[in-house]
Amino acid sequence: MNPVPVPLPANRRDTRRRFEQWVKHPGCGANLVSAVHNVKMGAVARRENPSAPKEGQSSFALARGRRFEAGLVADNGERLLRAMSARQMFDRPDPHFLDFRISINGGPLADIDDAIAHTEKFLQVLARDRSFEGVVSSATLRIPKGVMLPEATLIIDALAVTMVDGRPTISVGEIKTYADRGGHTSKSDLAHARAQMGLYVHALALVLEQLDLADDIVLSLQGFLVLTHPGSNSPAVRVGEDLRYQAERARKGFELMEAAASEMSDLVGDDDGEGSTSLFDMVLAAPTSFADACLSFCERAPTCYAKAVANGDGAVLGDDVDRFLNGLSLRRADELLGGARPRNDVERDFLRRMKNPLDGVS
Amino acid sequence: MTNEIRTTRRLRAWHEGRPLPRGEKVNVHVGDDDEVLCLSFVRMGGESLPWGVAVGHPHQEPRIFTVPDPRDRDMVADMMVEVGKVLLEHFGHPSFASDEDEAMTMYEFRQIWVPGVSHLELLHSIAFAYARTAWERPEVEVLRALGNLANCLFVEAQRPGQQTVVVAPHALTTAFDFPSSPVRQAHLGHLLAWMGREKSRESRLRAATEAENLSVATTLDPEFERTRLESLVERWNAPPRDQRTAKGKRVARDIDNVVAEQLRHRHALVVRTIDVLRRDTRGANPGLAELVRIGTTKFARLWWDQVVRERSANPDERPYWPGLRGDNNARQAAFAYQQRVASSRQALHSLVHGDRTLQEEELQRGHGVRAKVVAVEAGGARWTLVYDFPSLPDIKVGGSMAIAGAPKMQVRVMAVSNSDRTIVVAPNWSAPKNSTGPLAKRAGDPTWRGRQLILIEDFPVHFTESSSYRILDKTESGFDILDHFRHSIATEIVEPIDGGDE
Ligand code: SF4
Repeated sequence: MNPVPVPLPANRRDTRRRFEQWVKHPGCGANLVSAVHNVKMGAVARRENPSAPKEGQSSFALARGRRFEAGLVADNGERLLRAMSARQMFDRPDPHFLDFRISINGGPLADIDDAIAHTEKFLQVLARDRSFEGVVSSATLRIPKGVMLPEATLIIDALAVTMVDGRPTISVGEIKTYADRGGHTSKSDLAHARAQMGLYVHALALVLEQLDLADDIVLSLQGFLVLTHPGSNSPAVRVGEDLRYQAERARKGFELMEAAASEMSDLVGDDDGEGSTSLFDMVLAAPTSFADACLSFCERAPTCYAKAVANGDGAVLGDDVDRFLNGLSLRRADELLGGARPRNDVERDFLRRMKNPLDGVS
Repeated sequence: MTNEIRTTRRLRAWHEGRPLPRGEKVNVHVGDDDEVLCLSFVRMGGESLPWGVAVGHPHQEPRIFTVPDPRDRDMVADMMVEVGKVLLEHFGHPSFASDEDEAMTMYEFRQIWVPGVSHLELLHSIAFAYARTAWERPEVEVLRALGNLANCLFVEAQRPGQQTVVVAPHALTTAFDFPSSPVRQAHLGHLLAWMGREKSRESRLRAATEAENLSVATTLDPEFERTRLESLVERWNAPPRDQRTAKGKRVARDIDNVVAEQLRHRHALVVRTIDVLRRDTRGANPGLAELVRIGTTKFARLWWDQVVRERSANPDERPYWPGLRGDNNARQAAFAYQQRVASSRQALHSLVHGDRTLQEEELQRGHGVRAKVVAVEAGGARWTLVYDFPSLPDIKVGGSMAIAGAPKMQVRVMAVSNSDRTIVVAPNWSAPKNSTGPLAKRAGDPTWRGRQLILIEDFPVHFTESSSYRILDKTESGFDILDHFRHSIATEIVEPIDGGDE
C-alpha cells in the first residue's frame, strides 16, 4: 500500500470545524464558548469526567481519507481531473492543475500564510488572464472579518475554474470518502458536506469583495462533491450541488455568532484545541442546554444528559417533549400524571393536552 | 396531531418507567423461523463493504464470515460469494437451491431481519459493488445475483407496509412506545435494555444508557477498533501480499474472533427482538396477512420474475432490474411517490380495522368520525348520523368511509354539515354483509338507529395506484413542477477509473 500521508496540521480545518460545531447547537452557551475560544469539547469532557469515552473517528477511516485525497492530487491531479472531465466539467481536453497544499500535507507550499498568498495572487491573475481552466487543490482563504479568534482560515479541497461566457467562473468542491449511492447517499453526510461548501462560497464572496474582484470573477452557487464508488477507491463526482441556501446560512451564522461572541474575551486555545485552565473553566462555567442535537456531535453529551435527567429536563425525552412541557419540569409532569393537583394554568393545560381526546366524549 | 400522540405516549411511558404497548395488536409480521433470516454486518471505518457477516435463522447458531482486512477486494469478494449463496438460497433463487427437488417453482414469502438502518444501507453498497460488475473472476455470477437481490431488498424496504425486510428497532418502535428520545431509539440494544427485567425506571434507564456503549451499527466503536483490531490488522499486512495467507493464519484467526464476537452480539439482539414480538400477548393484527400477501406479489414482480427471465435467456424477455441510484427523472420520481402513497394507504387500510388504537389515531387526524345513527331512511339507502368526534373532521362529500372493524361495509358521503355535526351517507350494502356478530344486518334494519359507529375514511388505493401508472405513461406529466425538472441524472455505473485499493 502507498504510505499514508502525514496527518494534517490540527488547525487546518479548525475554523470550519468550530463554526459547524457552533451551528449544530447555537442555544448552548458552553458550545459557543468552546467554538469561539477553540477549546475542544472532548478535552473539556475528559476534564469534567476523566473516564469519559474517547469518541472521534476511526483510525482506519482517517487513513483512508488521507490516502484517497492524496491519490486524487498525485501526478498533477491526474485522477481528479479525469473524474471531473468525465462529468463534462471542462471545455478543454487538458484542464490545468494547481497544487496549493502546504508541505506538511505533501504539497509544495511552505505554510498556511504561503497558501493564502498564493490563492490571493491566483485570483488576481485569473481576473486578468483568462487562460486557466482546471482545478486548484487546497485554495486557502482568510476571512477578512474574524469572529473566530485569532482569524478565520478555510482550505477548500478543490476549486474548479471554468470559462462561462468568456468570464472565469469558480465553483467549490469537497472531497469525501463515503460512497456515492445516487439518490440514496446518506442524507446527513450530504447535508454536512453541502453546509461546508456553503461556508466556502460565503468566504470566497467576502474575499473577492475584499480583493475588489467581485465583478471580474463569477462565483458559482453550484458546487461539486468528489465521493467514492461503493467498494472501491475510485472517485465519483456529483455536480450541480445547489449552495444558495447554504451560503446564506453561513452568512447569517457568522453574523449571529459574532453577535453572540462580542462580549467574550480574546483568549484562544492552541492548535490542538487545548488551552489554559482558565479557558477550560470558562467552558465548564458556561450554561448548557441539553438537546437531541448534542448526541450527534458533542463529547459532553453523556454528562449533560445525566445532568438533564437529574434536573428533570424534558429534553431527555426529546426536543418535542421539551416543547410540549412548555416550561414544566419532567419531575412535575410525572407528579401530575401520578394524580397531583395542578397548581396553575400551565399545569392544567398540560393535563388537558395529555388527555386522550376520545376519553369522555359523549 | 400524530406527532403529538407519540409525544404524549412517550411521556406516559416515562411516567410508567417502561415501554408501553403501542396499539391493541402487534402491527409487524414475524415469520416462522424458516422464513426468517437474520443478517448482521460489521465494516471497517471508512470502508463501504463488509468486514464480516453473520447470517442465520433465529435460534440457530449463525454462520459467521470474516476477512482479515476488508480493504482487500478479492478476499471480500470470496467471502461475499459464500454469503450470497446463503441469501440467495433463502429467497429461493432456483440456481442456489441446496436440494433441487425442493426448489421453489414460484416465489414464496421470505423475510430478512437486520439490527439497524446502517445494515440496510450496506446491502445497498453491496448492490452497487456487484450487481453490474464486469469483473472477471470465479463465481462472478453469484456476486451479480447477490447484488441484484440486495438491491431489490433495499428497494422493497422503502415501500410502506412491506414485511419482507424488517429493521429490528423499527419493529420494536412500531409495537411499543419507549420512554426515551427518538434519536436514541435507533439503537437496538438501548430499546431491548428498556424491556429487561430491571425493577425500576432508574435501573432500566441505566441499563439502556449502558447498552448504547456497545455499537450495533455496521461500524465499530472507533476506540474498540483502535485498541482491539488496529495492531492485528497491521500484523496481517506486514508480510508481502502473496505471503499473507500463509504467514498470517494465526492473526487472521485473532481478527476473526474479535469481529465474530461483534457480529454475534448484533445477531443475538435481532433474535431477542423476534422473541419479544412473538411472546407479546396482544397477538398479530389480522390485517398483516393481507400485507404479507401483497408483499409476496410485489417482491415476486420486483425480483423473482427477473430471476426467471434471466434464467430463460430469452432475448425477448430480458430481466428488468431496478436501478441502483434511485429515480432517474422527475416522471419516475412522481410514479414512485404515487406508488408509495398507495402503499402507505394500503398498509393503513389493512391494519386499521384490526386495531382500535389505530382507529383512534385516524380519528385524531380527522380521517374519520365517531357518530351515532339518528335516522335510517329509504329502506336503508340513506342514513343520517350525528358525530361527536373530532370537532372538525376532514370528510369530503362524495368520499367513501368504512365501518371500523368491517372494511367491506362502506358508506358514501352525501352531505356534511359542520354546524350541526351531521352527515348523510348511503350504505353500499342492502343484504347483511357479515353472517354473524352485531354488524350482521341489512342496511335498512331499523336497529341501526341509535348505534354509535366509528367510520374511517376509505382509502382510494387503486385510484392512487392507477394515477401513478398514468404519470409513468406520459412524456410530460402535466404538472409544471415535474416538467421543469425533466433532465435525467446519470444512471450508468461508471466503471472505477482504476480499481485497486492498494
Ligand atoms: S452536550 Fe452539553 S455542552 Fe455539549 S452542546 Fe449539548 S448541552 Fe452544550
